[in-house]
Amino acid sequence: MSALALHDLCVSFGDGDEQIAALDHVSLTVDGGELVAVVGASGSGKSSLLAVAGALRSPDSGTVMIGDVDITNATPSDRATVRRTKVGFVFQSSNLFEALTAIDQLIYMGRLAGMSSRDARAEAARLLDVVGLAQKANRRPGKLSGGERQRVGTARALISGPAVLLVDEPTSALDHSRALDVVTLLRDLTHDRGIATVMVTHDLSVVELADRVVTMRDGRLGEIADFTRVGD
Amino acid sequence: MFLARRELRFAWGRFALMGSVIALVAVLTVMLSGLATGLVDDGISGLRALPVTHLAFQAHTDSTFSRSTIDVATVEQLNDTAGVSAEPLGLSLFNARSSTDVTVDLALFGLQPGGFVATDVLHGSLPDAASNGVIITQGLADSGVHVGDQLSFDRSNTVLTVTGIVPKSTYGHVDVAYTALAVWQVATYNALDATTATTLVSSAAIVADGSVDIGALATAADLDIVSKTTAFNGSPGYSAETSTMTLIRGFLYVIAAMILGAFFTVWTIQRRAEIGLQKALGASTRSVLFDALGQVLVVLVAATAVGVAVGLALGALISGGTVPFSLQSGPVAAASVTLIVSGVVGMLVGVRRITSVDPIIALGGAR
Repeated sequence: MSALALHDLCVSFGDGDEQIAALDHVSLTVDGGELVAVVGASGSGKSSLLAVAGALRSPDSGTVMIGDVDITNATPSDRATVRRTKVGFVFQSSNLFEALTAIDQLIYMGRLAGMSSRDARAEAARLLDVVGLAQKANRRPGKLSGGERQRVGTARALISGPAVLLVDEPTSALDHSRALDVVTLLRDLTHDRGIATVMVTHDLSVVELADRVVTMRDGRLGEIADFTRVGD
Repeated sequence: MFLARRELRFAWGRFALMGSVIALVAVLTVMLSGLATGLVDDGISGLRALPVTHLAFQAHTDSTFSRSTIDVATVEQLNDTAGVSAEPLGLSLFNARSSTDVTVDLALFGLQPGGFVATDVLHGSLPDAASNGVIITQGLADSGVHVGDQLSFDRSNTVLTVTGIVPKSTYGHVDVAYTALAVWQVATYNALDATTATTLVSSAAIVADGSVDIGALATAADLDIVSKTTAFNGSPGYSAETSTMTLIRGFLYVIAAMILGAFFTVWTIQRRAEIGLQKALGASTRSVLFDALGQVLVVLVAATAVGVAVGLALGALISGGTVPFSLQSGPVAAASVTLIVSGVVGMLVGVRRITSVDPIIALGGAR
């Protein structure tokens, strides 16, 4: 069974008098331990794909399965539970809480996922060590570099032990060297922890680190084997 | 409250600014409470101290001492009613000049010697009518009137000798003095001969038990009989003062609610992205709201406590001066709680936007 299975998804939204298809009969399965990169231009539907896969919204049609749980028509409350326990998000520009230190970012997520304060703190410290930020655990986002913030965001996404990791443009604010570092970290964590990771990006320089690359254009998915042809 | 507590520490400047505004409102609330209580005391403390349940006045005089004149015989008839104890009570405002040339305004109560009012208020120290004595309250003593001084009353040829001083008591914002009913009658109805004057009085002090039908009693005697509290309204300026203070305090609570509402509306709008992130990470709308409410309550309660403390300190400085100001725990506590409730109402308006934040905004490009 795939960790994440999206089948025949359709999502559309109104744009004036028009209906725009953000996802047009999209199907995608991702296995545990697999990093899938989704590349495409702005407005191609990448973020809508993440929103549906991450239970942030329901599709107009199609099915969304995380493991053996069908979340297609889950209530908002059930979708929030899914996000707390089964899905980890790494957001564009890290999207950290301004008021929280690095370790508190993780503890907050751990507490949301139902961990005790002590367990959350211990796991947060361990994960910050894994991502190489143990020495900066007490720094707030304003005192961290872009790459460090993204690593904190990654550690935060992992603290709840998610089956699925959804990564939204993780390198958009990073130079090439730091971008490679972050995506390498994501790949290693995906493989080590058996997580199904979907990484949306338009940074072609990092997709070579993915196990699989798919393209999106006008809400439709195309799979390619050779990442060097992504830009074709 | 994990995130809320850390936000309070991180953005302490913003919360301190908000808190200082609330604290200032709380100071103002305490000061207004003290002023309102002080004004009430100044207006009716002499009346409030009377051991009566009701007061009877001449019909159609708006239960006002200055306009009411009733026969002492009518009061005696009231006293004959089962469950009712009644005795004549006189009250008039005078200007008087002491033998040491101190001019004072005073509210002169005429009490029946040996009656239940004199016994309760003066513990038997009421001078008899023959001695032409008057007992003054502390406020008059503070104005320079002393025991042994003679007080000459305007509008009459009455001259009374001060025989004692009792604690401060006021009516209609002037200090109270007590004399025997017959002395009061002669001083008040000075245009009449003494025999006629002693048949009249301005009101009746009544103690009625719960079984008495006050309406029927009033109709039978052709009097207005009102509760002691209702009679407060007959004090000069009392209704206007209390309604004005109530209006000001009401506006203050509305303003406090609006300030908090505006602050938390802006605060919520500024935090929209973070609220979206909280929800995207799986926080329920309820828990996000709970965090926001907790945050507000901390600011509100802390700021109110600081403001009340400052208000009490300022009030202590003012109390005892010429400004009618009196701080009592009940009204101050009620004002503080009302301020907090007003703040919570305002805050609810402000943070209701939390419910409408879509977690999808955490994903930059998604719609």
